[in-house]
Amino acid sequence: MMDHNLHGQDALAHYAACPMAEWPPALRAHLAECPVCREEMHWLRTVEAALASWPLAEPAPGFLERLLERLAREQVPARAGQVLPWNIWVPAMTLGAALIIAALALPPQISQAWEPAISEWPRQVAPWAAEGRLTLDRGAFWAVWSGLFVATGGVGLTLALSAWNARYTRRVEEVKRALSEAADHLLKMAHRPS
Amino acid sequence: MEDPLAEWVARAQKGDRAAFEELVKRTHRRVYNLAYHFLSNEQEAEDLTQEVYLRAWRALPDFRGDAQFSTWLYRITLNTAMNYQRTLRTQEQAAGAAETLAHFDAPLPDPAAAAATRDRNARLWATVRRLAQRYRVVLALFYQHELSYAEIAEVLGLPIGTVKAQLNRARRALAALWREENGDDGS
Ligand SMILES: [Zn+2]
Repeated sequence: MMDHNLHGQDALAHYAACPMAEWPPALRAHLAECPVCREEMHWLRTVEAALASWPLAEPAPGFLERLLERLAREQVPARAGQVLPWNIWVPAMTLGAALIIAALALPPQISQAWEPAISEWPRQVAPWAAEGRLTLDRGAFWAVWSGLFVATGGVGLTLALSAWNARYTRRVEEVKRALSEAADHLLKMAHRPS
Repeated sequence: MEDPLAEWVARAQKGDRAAFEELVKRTHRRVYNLAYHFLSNEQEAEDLTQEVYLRAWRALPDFRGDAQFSTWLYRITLNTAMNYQRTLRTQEQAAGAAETLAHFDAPLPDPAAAAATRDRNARLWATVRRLAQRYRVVLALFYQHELSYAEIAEVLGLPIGTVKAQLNRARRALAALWREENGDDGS
């Protein structure tokens, strides 16, 4: 004997979803004599029958077209083993370029000049301009400044690219819309009876 | 189990847009359906579906194929939906918006579609919208997407036992609502 309080109605819900052939004899026996569970089973079976043919929710017309169009605008390419993104390689290349320029600009005699230049640097950096005196080796000076120049340029380029990337999609859409509106307007003007 | 979409997935992972479009064509109705049952709103479900595929396209190189592609997509759908709903909720609170009335705009049954069963089923499907979100989603995954308990457990990140219990509770909740709507006329 199956007690509906003891077994709980989750069991009924479970068997409601099974073919009747799979119902255990105890359940059949209980249903035969318990109107409460019979009633519950009736509603569960009704629900089950309707759910068995429950169709997918229908999207609005033109949904797939809109979806594909939106995806086509996506700039980021998917690629297995994708190379580093631009916001990593641009600064990295800049830094590399700065280092190369610095190395090329350093004169061969820098090894002798470097020691005093470094040791005097903290004192020299500010007074050097005022006093018109340059203790720092000229080659090292240009190396440092050209390196800084390239690095600053790289940061600027990175920021510019970043802003461009974010706005690009929207801008192109705006231009396309403006062009098609203008074309519509011209067509209407052309077809207007004079 | 062999993933029927494996070939398209492999091509899309190499950056083949046409292959990805094919994946979209084959899966979009189910992603939309799941989004719809999660959000109970058609426009939001459409927006969410777009977002899901944008994320999927970006994350595709990371898809390792240990789950079916569709299961992976459903996971993205639910994660995105949860984020989306959090944002919406914040916006609604800010605007002091009233409780959503989504379940009142169920499509009216078509009188011309005479068949009584059809009509009754349509009403019952509409009743699903009155259920709690977790019940709607689990019912959709089981009956419409025809996922196994194990697959549902994977998508929802729940133990299989919990999935079974939730499914039974969802059935009971729906039966109770249906009974309430129909009185005791026996249908
Ligand atoms: Zn009973």
